[in-house]
Formats: sequence, C-alpha cells, structure tokens
Amino acid sequence: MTLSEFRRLLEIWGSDPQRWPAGDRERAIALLGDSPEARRLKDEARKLDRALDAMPLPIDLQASARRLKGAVLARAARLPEKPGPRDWLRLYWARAGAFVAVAAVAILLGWVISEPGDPHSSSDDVASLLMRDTSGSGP
Amino acid sequence: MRTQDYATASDEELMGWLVEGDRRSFETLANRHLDRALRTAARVLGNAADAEEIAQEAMLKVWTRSQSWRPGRAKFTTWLYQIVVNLALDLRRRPSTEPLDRIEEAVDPSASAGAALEERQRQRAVRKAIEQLPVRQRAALTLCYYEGLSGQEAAHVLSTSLKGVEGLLLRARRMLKQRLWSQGL
Repeated sequence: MTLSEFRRLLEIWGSDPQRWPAGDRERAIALLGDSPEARRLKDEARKLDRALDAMPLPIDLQASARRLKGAVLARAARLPEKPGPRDWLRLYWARAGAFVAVAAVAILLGWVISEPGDPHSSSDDVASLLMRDTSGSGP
Repeated sequence: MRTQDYATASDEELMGWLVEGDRRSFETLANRHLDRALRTAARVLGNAADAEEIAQEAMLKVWTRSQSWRPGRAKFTTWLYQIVVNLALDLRRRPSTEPLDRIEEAVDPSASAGAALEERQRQRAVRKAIEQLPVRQRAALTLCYYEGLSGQEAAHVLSTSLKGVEGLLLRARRMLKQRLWSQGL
C-alpha cells in the first residue's frame, strides 16, 4: 500500500484498524510498521475520531426505549393479524382507485370549463368572469 | 415447541415466524432492536423527538412489511437499518420538530467547571458540524462509524455502491475536519 492509498483509507474509515476494510487491513498495518509518515497520518486521523467518539447520543436511549416499547406493541396489536399479500393488494387497489377518481374529476372539470365545440378558449371565459366580478365590486 | 425458542432464535428465524403472523416474534424483535432503531435515527436526525417517531414507525414497518423480507438476501439488522434510514431521509425533507440547541450535552460529572464548559463547547461545535453535513453523509457516518457496518452493508442500506459509500464518508470526514480545525478544535 502506498502512502497516498493509506491517506485515503484514513480519510474514509478513520484511524481504527477495526473499521478498515478487511482486504486493506493487513497491507495498511504493514505500512504502519515501516513508515513514520504513515504513523503520523494515523495520529492526525485519530483527532477527528476522538471528536466523533466524544459526541453523546442526542437522546436518553433507555428512557426513550422504555417509553416506546409499550407504544409500539400497542400499535402493532391494532394492525391486521397476519400482514400478507392481501394487505398490499388492498393498498394498491386503494391507490389505483384514488388515481382514477382524481383523473375523472380533472376530465370533468376540463369538459365543464372548456364547453366542447365553443371556439373560445376556457381562459377567455375565466378572464371575462373575473372582469365582471371586479367591475361589480368597486365603490 | 416454539414457546421455548424465542429467546434463543436468530433474528432471521423470528422473521420467518413473523411472516406467518406470529405476534410474539414481533415482540421479541422489537425488544431486541428498538434501541438500535432509536440510536440510528437519533444520530442521523440529531434530535430525540424525531428519532422516537422514526424508530416507532420503523418497528411497525417490520410488521406491516414482513412479506417483503427475503431470507438470505440480507441480515435482519441490515433490513432494519434500511427502513430506519429511509424513514429518516424522508423526514429530513420536512422541518425538524425540536431545535438542536435544546439537546443537552453529556459532560463528565467529575470534570471541573472550566473543563466542563470547555467540553460542552467542544461537543456543541462537533454537533453543529455534524448537523451541517448533508443527511446522506450523516447516514453513512452513522452506519459505518457509530454502528460498525461494513462498506458493503452500508451500501445496501443506502441503495448505492461501495464506492458511493466511500465517497459519502470521505466528503463527510473532510468537511468535519475542515470545520472543526478552522475553529481550533
């Protein structure tokens, strides 16, 4: 392993050999034995690891887990007895139904607004309605 | 007799029973892995309220999505990490529910007042630097650094390649180093 490869290894995986990919570990450790520069780079990478190690979890794990366990089991108890393909199928049908309903409403709205056969565009109709409302609402 | 087996059964065996609708398998898995889900979500999201929401949803998805579990394809824990991380990434598209400043830093109680203050400031700086990372970089760091996953496992969780994970880790560590060093830490 070259020093440049070793530097990259440290930049990705940090200074702890346990985190290094198994395929690289042996060659990296051999380089550490031979190269003072490699040891210096490892010490430098260790600084960032120490900062990361000192970061506490932003949560009281035990208290949260205790609180959540009951809630998770209670919610799971209300779920269907055996989650199966039928549940997925039902979900897909529900989604398909919602899609068809939205598409039908869109087509209906388009038909109502555009008045088939009328050469005037729907945007003209809307604009004239707006104009009429605005002109009638002044002081 | 299955009643004797729950405590010693592997996660994968429990999943096999869960797919058949066995609620006790689910309870055993929840007891074993809720901590893991909470820890991972907390690291990726940076606050307790969001982490609890995601961990709860993730455990319920273990039940509702058990049919999509494929034995032999990945370990149960890798599958769970994938659920947690995907939910966390989705949540990050919405604003956070708890300001990060409300999170208390843990300081060694035996430290003197000056040392404790210094330690708090250092932790706050590291926390802010991590919080400023893009969420996928934070997820990669959480999985590989804090949870000890291999690059290949993290790649599976994040639906990317090994090179992709290495790129995320490289950028994350470089950015952290740059930010922390510039503040003299």
